This record gives sequence, structure tokens and C-alpha cells, in this order.
Amino acid sequence: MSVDLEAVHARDQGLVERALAGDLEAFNDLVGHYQDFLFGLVVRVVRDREAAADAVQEAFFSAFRNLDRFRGGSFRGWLARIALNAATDVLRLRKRRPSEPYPEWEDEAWQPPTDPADDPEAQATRRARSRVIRTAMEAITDDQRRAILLFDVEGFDYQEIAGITGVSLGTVKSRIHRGRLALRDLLADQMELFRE
Amino acid sequence: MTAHLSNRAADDHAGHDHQLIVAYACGDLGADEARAAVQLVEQCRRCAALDREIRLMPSLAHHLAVPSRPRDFRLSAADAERLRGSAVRRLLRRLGGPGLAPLQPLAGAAMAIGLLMVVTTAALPIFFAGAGATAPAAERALDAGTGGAEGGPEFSLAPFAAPTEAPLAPGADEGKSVIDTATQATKIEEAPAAPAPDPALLIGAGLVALAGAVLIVRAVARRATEDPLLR
Repeated sequence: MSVDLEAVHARDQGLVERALAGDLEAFNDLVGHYQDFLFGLVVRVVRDREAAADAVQEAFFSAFRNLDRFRGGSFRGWLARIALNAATDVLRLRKRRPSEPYPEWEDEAWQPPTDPADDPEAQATRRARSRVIRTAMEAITDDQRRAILLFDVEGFDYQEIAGITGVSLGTVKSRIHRGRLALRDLLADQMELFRE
Repeated sequence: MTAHLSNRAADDHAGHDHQLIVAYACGDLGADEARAAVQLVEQCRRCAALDREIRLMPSLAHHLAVPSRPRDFRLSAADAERLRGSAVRRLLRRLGGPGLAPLQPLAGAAMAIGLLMVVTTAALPIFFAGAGATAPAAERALDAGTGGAEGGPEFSLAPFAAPTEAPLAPGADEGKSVIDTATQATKIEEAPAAPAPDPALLIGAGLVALAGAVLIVRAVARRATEDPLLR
């Protein structure tokens, strides 16, 4: 484990202990550290800002209620597991109620942030890449998407992902392999877009 | 000719193990499998392309834009108060929480020991004694019957009662009968009216009851405070 990671674990453990002693500010410090990460993860899974926000809020509520059940280790991973369970509930609800409006992919909120230094062409390329990736990610299975997001974007290792998603190490690897292969096939015609 | 070779290469590639190439590109192969994958990558142009593109995938996911967080998720004091719940809820959480988790295996062990004690002190003697254990009871019933005027036919049904029955046969003298009556009285006095329970049985039953109560309370508390998001 790297020194940075150890320091983060120690910081989180300290905040958890203070929160367990009744210090709400300590818990809110944890929320402050992880809310962007958690929202980014969940919104990519449920693909709906408001539903993701509700799921993340529920995840923090659940974490607060069950803080005494945190057994140490990665607080980030523990939160991710709770939040992904909340995201699963959102997706289940959506399947049961297919009339729910589906997220607007072209919503401005989903566009990459613009850099003033970028020329219009670079901005257009970035938007196009984001759109293409979003569409491809939409086409792979939920399990593959989660595994790829946790591994490629959030930087969890296989073992951590197995713990977060509650499956075996082999299943995690298989999901990542199949997900990457599926993405590669989906993006085959547009790989030029990603070559610098 | 070139087209023919190209088609053949495509056919060959279709038969190659793509999952092997993907696992190789992800760095998840052992030495032997990696050698097989390297061979494919070196010999098949399309396998080499697959390897290159799979290696590119992790960086592509970073191009996925994420909308900004719509609100702050920090908890208010009111939220915290609501989430902590009522006193009963807090008690249930404590009873079902990990703080008392060590009680569970202890209760399980106590339950096992208690059951063992109950079985060895109460059930096993009855099981192993079988008919032997019923003999004294039958004897007591026989002895009680000798005082009655019409006890004769019943005695003849119990083979082990024969020696006792013989002196009572018609023609026996009154003196013997009196002595027998006196003996019977003595025997009745010696028989315990209410046998004292075995202490091991009591301790075993107590352990079972206590451990059962602990397990039931823990199970109820856990169920009542279970959070589906922690599944």
C-alpha cells in the first residue's frame, strides 16, 4: 500500500471514530472528501443526474446509520459499495417502471468542460469523444460498465472491485475483459477519433 | 491472389482466441498463456491490432464526461437526528450491531454444551437403559399391588415378578403375608416421592435457554435494523 493511501486510510479512520463519537462535522468531512467521487461513479452507472443524486444521498444516509459496521480498510471502497447498491436499486426501479423518462444524452450537463485555451475544433473533438464513449458504455452490460468504471476510471484494483461488487476475482477480470472487448468492437469504426 | 490471402488471414483471425489476446493486453496471463498470446500477436496482424486497441481502452473511459454534482450531500443536524432514530431503534442497533458480535459464537457454543448436558443427563440413560430402566418401575407397581385383594392376575403378567408372587400363592400362611406386607411398607417408604433433578440437567437446560435467548434477540435486532444498501 502506498504511503498516500495509508495516510488517507488513517485520516478516514480518524474521522470515522470521531463521527462514531457523535461528531457530525467529522462525518461531513468524510462526505466532503468523497461526494464528488461517489456522484461521478453513480451518475455513470444510472445515467441520470437526479436519480444519481438521490442514490448518493441515500448512500451517505446509510453510511451514517451504519458507520459502526465499517470494519476499517478503504472507506472509499465501503462507500462505493453502498452507493452502487443504491444505484442498483435505481436501475431496478427504472426497469419496473419503463415509462420513467430516460436521461437526455445531449443534455448540456453531460458535456465535457470547456477549456478556454482550446480552439473550437479541439472542443468539438472532445465533445465527440465523450458522446461516442457514452454511447458505447451504454451498450455494454451494467456489470461490465461497473467493473470498467471502477477499474479504469476510479483506479480500484481487482481485489477491491471484487469486494465492492460482491463477486469473485475471476468474475471481475472476466467482466473487465469482456467489457473492453465489447467497447473495442463498438468503437471500431471510430478509433480515429481517439488517436492524437 | 492478394484478396485470397487477405480472406485467409481473416478466417484465421476469426479462429484465434480473442479472449486470450484481451487477457494478455490486460496483463492477466501467466507465463505459459502469455507465450501463446505473444505468438498470436506476432503472427496475426489483426490480433496485433486487437492487442493495441484493447490497451487503448482504459484511457478512453476517461473521455467520458461527467455532469457536475447538483447538490451538496453533507448532513444537517436534523438529518443526523432523524437517522439516529428512536431510543428503541438505537437499542436494537446496539443489540444487533457488530459490538456484540462475539456473543454469537459464544451463544452457539453455550447452546451446544447445554444440549450435550441435557442429552447426556436425561435422554441417554433412558435410551440405553431400555427395558432395564422400566423393571424397577414395574417392580414398584407389583409391590403396590400385593396389598390389594385382587392383585393376583396382574402379577402373573410380569415374568420378573414371579419370585415375589410365589409366597402369595393360595395356601401361603398369614405370617408370611404380614411379613410381606411389612416389607412392602418398607419398600414404599424407601422409594423417593419426587426425584431431585440432576444438577447437570438444570445447568444444561439453563445454558440452552440463555444461549437461545441471546441468539433470538440478536437475530430480531439485526433483522429490525438491517439496511438493504449494506447487502
